[in-house]
Amino acid sequence: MYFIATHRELQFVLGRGGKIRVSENHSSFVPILTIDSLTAVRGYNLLFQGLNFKLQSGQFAALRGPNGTGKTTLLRMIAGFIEAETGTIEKVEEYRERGPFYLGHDHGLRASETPLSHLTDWADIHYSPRSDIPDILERVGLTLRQHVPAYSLSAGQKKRVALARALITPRLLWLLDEPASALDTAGQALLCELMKEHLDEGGAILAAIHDDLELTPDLVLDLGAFA
Amino acid sequence: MMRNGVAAIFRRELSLAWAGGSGLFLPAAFFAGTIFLAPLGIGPEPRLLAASAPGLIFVALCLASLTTLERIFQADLEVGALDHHRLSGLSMELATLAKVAAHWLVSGLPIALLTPVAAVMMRAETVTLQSILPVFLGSITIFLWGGIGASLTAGLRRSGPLVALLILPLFVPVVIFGAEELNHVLTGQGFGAGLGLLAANSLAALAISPFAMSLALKLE
Repeated sequence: MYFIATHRELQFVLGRGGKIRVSENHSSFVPILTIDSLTAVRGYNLLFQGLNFKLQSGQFAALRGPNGTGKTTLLRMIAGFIEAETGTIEKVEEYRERGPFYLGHDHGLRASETPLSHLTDWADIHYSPRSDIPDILERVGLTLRQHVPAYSLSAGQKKRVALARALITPRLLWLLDEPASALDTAGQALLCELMKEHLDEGGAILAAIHDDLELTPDLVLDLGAFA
Repeated sequence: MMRNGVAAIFRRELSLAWAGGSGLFLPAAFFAGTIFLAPLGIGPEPRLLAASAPGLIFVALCLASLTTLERIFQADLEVGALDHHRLSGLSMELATLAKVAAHWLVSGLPIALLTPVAAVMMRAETVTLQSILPVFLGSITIFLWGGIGASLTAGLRRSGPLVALLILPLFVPVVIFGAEELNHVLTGQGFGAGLGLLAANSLAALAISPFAMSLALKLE
């Protein structure tokens, strides 16, 4: 029972109040991510083993655990950057063979890029429409700073640019690594709003968080328990 | 307007190189500086200068390229932009090739175009626009092989010396055939057999390096 969104459906998601229609009869319980007996080793350290986990359409899972338990490693494994030692990761098929949306510690902006140039290149690289960029910049509160190069932006503003990327190119699975860091109160409220919209549209989120967000997670995955 | 993800990566690299300011002209300036200083070191004897011109031009080309090669992927890796390219659904082989092509366009091509000027400064017998071609082919090859070194060492800090160590052996055929060929052109004998070998080397680099670069960048 795999979910394959059509181009039109995904396009529809952006800023038009539409929803990704999950196939006719299964509007819920569509598996977005299935992890089966996953083990991660970094160097000589066993980070976690025997991890089983299921994430379905519309669910937000919080990834918790002390520093160094492999939260980032798990997210990067799911994104496909790191090979799993053992176990399997099955992901929903994204449009155009894209990977999931990944928001890491790094903001992804080169020093001389401006929010506008970055998002324009992003849209082109992902075959997404450029026409949505002004609205999205407005949404993340960067309209006035859109021509400022990244070296003059604050950490929080760069994070907002990173969030804007998720709006330009819709994806079903969001992997967020401490998304609230560097964001002010208004920024965190915006983050929760965007996450909530994504879930309402049928997406799923796995986020490594230390402090509680305003949005209550449907599931909590504590990596400390699998060490 | 036709839009293409790989072309967008190429355009992005070009505009970032442009925004990077004076660093853009570093390889060409390095090349010009070497050629400018050479007669001061070698001496004003025209025959001696003309004889050393082809070799010197190719050595200067290799070393000038090394000043910029390490940055091809490092700048994107440091800020996490490579992660996004990997998730974009684009072929990493084409994406890396687009990056190398953009870097060659701003760093390698100007050096090739400077060749006739360098030949005049080195008192070469026959200076024609033909002298551009061997250096043109050589610079493409050098950037393609250099891209492999850059991708292997992208995750390391201060990787410049390591890139040089890894890649210099691959520059050997370029320097041998390139200097031989340039010698042909600068002594008025037209193109020789070296041009074919130089072209073959660049085609081999074109066939191998995108796969090697994409594999190297996926190591974590």
